[in-house]
Amino acid sequence: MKRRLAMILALTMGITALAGCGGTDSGTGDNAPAQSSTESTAQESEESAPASSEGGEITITMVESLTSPERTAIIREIADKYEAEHDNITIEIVSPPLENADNKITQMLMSGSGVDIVETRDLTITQYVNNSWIQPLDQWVEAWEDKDTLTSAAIAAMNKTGGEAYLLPYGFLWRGLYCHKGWFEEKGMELPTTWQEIHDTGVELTDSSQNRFGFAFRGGTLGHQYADNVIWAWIGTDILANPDAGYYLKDKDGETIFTMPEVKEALEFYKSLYTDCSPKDSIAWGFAEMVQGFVGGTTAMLIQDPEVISTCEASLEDEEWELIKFPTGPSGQAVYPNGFAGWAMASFTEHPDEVADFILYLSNPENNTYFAKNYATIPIHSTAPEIDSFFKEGRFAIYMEMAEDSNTYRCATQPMMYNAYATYKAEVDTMYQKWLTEEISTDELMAWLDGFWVDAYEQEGKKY
Amino acid sequence: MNGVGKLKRKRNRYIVCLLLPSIILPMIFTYYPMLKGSMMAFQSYNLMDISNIKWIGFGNFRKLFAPNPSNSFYTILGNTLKWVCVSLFFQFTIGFGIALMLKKKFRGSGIYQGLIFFPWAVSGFVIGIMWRWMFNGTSGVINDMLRRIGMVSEPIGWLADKKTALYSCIFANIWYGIPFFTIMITAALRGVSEDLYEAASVDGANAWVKFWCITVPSIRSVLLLTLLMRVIWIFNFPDLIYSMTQGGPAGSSHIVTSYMMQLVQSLDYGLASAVGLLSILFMIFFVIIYLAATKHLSGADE
Repeated sequence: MKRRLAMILALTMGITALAGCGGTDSGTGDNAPAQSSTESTAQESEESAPASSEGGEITITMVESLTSPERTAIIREIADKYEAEHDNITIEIVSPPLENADNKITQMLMSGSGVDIVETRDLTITQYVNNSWIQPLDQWVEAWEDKDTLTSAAIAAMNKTGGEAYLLPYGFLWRGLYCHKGWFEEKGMELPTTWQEIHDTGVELTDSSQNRFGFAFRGGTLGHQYADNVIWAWIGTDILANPDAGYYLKDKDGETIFTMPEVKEALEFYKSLYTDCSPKDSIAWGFAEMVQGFVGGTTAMLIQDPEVISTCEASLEDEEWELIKFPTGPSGQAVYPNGFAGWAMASFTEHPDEVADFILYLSNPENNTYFAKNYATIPIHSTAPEIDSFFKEGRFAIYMEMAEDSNTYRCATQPMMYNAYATYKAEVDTMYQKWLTEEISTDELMAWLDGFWVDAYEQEGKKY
Repeated sequence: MNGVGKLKRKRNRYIVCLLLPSIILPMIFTYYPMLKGSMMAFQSYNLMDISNIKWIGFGNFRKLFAPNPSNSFYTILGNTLKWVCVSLFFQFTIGFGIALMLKKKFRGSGIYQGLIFFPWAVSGFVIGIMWRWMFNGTSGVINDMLRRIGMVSEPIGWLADKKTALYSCIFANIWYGIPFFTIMITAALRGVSEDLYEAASVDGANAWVKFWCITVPSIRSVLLLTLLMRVIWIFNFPDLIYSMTQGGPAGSSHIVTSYMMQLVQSLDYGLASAVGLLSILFMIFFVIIYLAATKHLSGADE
């Protein structure tokens, strides 16, 4: 009897341990490996600390978020060049796997050591600033010889959060419209310039029996960004309180755009893109499926970041496809997110001057242009086209044209400075999917969106 | 007398020393995080702003069970039940069947065994990504095969349809889980004495009787234990769902643990911990009931 009781007890405990691994732990348990890994880096830097007092050896640890092997190689190349010029400095690049990188970075920053430079994104900067994990770079940027060639977009992104330069952007991801040129020629149609034309030509090109569709719709993660692009193209950015908080109306004390009849019209148009000219399957599509859909010859049009250029170049013939400017809406404007990311300095770094020096080195016109060309981002210095003709000619030229026509081409983003944004981002795509599958009506969706952001405004106040 | 007491004390201390690592390590790596996680479940703990953490009692739980129509937690509980029961039933029956077939040696049975066990060696996320492309509605191989043999005329959006998304994941999970049962049951079957079967044949028993009266009772404790373990593992296995559908479309394929992952991503660790605590409670409750119900059965084995 006693033995059996002991066995049951042991089993229960074992099982709680098992459940614990996948249970509550996912919250904290993820911490364990991350912490131990940061501990090891902390240890390494401690080990190098005594050396620094002797020979001035300094190790700068840099963590990437949007990791890819190709990109790490480019950064490594620049870091090697820097190390060659500075004998006492070693640069260590940490690249957590892309899918969970931001979670891992959060845990590293929470531990308060072992990181000097952190790649910060428009999606994560609010969190890092709120928690004082990163510090402003103003004093170093002020004294920087290259600060005068920074583009206005770069300066805006730099000072967007907290009113100080918490990060130095390395580039922007502006979207463009990718088209299968040949398909349009077959039907004798021009390439579309407006959202309405995307829909109309898309319907013409759709033939589900051939597994051909007009548009690569994004219904999966971050699909709401596409809906927002359509909404803003319908209403224009001039009525927004601030394009960086693109859901709030100007002079309206926290009222949102989600009560406007134009927004309803825009949403219904957006839904027709899905129902009329996109694969049914695309309600679950994320980045990979969209790109595969276009490159694999299922969809005629795709709206994506410039990084798709290299995928298309690798898989399609040059004359098969075209990258054209972002489509406009009834407001006459084309509105797309000003996606950016950059380098930030951890608030607890022991060598702020050296760290800042390396960040500025990474961001100087030569290195930033080199990085931008190879990673397909829009560079931060206005001198980039002079440094490399790549940005004047070829596929990238459309972005330079878009940058020049600021009356038509506008940027807007979701109110990412609100803490509520983290919850929003996790919930909103599910709401859109419910709406696309007719589980809720357009009015219900708008009521939910409006309620969410009115609540956020009430709880957090005016943050834009 | 004194000397013996001293020796005994010394021996006890030695035993305690040997036990210490096995007590301290789980304390640090299992029970401390569990305790900390359980505490978080009663806090407003959002990583967006860790300077603002406060106790909110049962606030997180109230949010989970809030009776409003946009609350999907009830659907998630139902999905979890389907996920566990359907997956387990097919994994077990098919795994058992294959194990019975593998009991008899045949030419190439070694290679076949290796092939059968293969899925078990691959990470859940990798399997999820593989199945996600296979189930892809426009370019997936499953639709292509079904179309070629004329079973469907229009491609089916397996992961895009609320009716099929969860079952597509369950299908992948069944494929993934069969080898576990096959491995365990094959090993157990090796331990059953052939004499019993011979004796039964002499007595004129048919295959069915042999199966029910010899095979099943002989490996009963293995069956019960593997079933118990699998229930817990399947429950705690969000990898496939997360990599195949991320709980979509419209949250229709979330199970408790994948939902928890989503909450972690939204940085609301308080709410995520509340879900985690609930799932531990479910599991403890399940284990107690299971053990109580099967106490009699496993007793007969001894």
